[in-house]
Amino acid sequence: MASGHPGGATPDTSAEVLRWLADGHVSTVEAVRQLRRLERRPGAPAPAPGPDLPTAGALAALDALVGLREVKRQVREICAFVDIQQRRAAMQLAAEPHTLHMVFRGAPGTGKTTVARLLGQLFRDLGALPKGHLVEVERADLVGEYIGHTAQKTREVVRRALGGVLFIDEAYALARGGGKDFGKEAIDALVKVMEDKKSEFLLILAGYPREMAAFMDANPGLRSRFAIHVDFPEYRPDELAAIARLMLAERQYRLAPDADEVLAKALDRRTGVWHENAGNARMVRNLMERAIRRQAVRLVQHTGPLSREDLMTLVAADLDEVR
Amino acid sequence: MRAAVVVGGVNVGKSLLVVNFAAYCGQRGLRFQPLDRYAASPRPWSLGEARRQLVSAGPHAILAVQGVAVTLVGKGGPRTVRLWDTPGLVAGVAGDPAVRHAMADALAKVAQADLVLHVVDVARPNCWGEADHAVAEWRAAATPYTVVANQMDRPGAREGLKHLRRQAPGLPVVPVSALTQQGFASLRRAMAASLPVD
Repeated sequence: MASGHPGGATPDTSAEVLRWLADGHVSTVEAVRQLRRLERRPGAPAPAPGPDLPTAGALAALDALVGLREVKRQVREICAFVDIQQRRAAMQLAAEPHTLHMVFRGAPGTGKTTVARLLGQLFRDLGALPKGHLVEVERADLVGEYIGHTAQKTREVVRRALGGVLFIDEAYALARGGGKDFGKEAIDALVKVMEDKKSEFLLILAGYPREMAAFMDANPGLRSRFAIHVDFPEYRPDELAAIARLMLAERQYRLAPDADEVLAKALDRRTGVWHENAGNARMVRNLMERAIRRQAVRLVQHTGPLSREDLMTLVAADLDEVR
Repeated sequence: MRAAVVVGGVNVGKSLLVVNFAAYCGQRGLRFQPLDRYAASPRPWSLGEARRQLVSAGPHAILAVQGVAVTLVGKGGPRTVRLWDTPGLVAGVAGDPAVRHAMADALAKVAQADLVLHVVDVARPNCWGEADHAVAEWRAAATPYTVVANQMDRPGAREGLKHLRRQAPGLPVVPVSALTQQGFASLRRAMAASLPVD
């Protein structure tokens, strides 16, 4: 029934169908059939959430992210849980207090901050957090320079994050300095506010998988308070290419066929620039931004009229840095 | 604003239909809204300029999904709707990634449509292709759906119209010519019937 994709897999969401179509994995006709199948599937996990659902917007944004299949599944699960707990509470049933603090494990540029921001919106739309904004901090924002300073800084950061999400990037760095370091003080202060302000904010600790595992192991007081671990895998080359095209399309740019080829080859090769940054979507975005600037330089030097097409198209020469 | 999405194969006359129908509805400057909601609206085009920019005899003159607001005067009062022009659908896998992306954009827009205007060139033999069939099967039951039989001014269009009605039974068909604006009154009535008054 479901054919067309090299892996023989079937897409789970309409966003995925459209991406396969854009990537040339399925024909237009096959894509339309898959879209129809997804809409008619009984009990579909909300492939096209109705506009009456308060979370429809944020869930659609989540679906639109490239890849991250398992992350999306987990986020939906968490949202379902929060939603039902809220409804139970409304009906005077015993509801689990949502201590849903999380650990996001993954390399830089794998979508952790993006998903954290969407979670904030989802929790706001579900009524679980009043504001749902994201406060993104790192070690330097929490750790002070003298005794007492750290607790004060940490409290200040938490105060800003109340009603929303506190996202601590490279959280393992808090334990970096050894015994005399004030990082320990920040961890203790966090553990304390997590108790005091249990449901008033969502704490997400993020960082490389291995470092985060070691960090949590060394801090049992933290570990017991984080039931949810979300793993962010590195993007595959085809996913990175999809991210690049999506980002360009959002800005009304596109890759000429030769440029598309250069990008696909570069992402597959994983040497040079990619050796260090394989799987990193932020790197891809930065490279596309540079390509957009190079296109501007190329077009300015061009004599004669420029068509709409010219203004939208990035050619292979604009991607020289990618090679 | 409600979205009427114009969809159909390559070179069936979608863009000319959008421009001329907007003109027919009394629109002077056509300000096309790009798909990307962050992009600024470009300056309005005059009708002639819009035709020059958007309408071509070659395939895929435009790869962007873009829309222009029109006001339909009809029974009960005016209805404002944005007419979205989409790139022509090719049934298979397009070689050019830009075209493939355009296909995905077009289908995404169709999925959000409040009203679908499915344009067919009835002057062409076998005008109801595989992609036409698939799209109608997908959306016709879910949303107001009108098949616009275009190019009625051309020879052979009457036979094509009969063929179309046989191939797509049960779908409302409005015969028009985007070029001569024949049939636009019926099209406006059909659209107004499935849109709420402002």
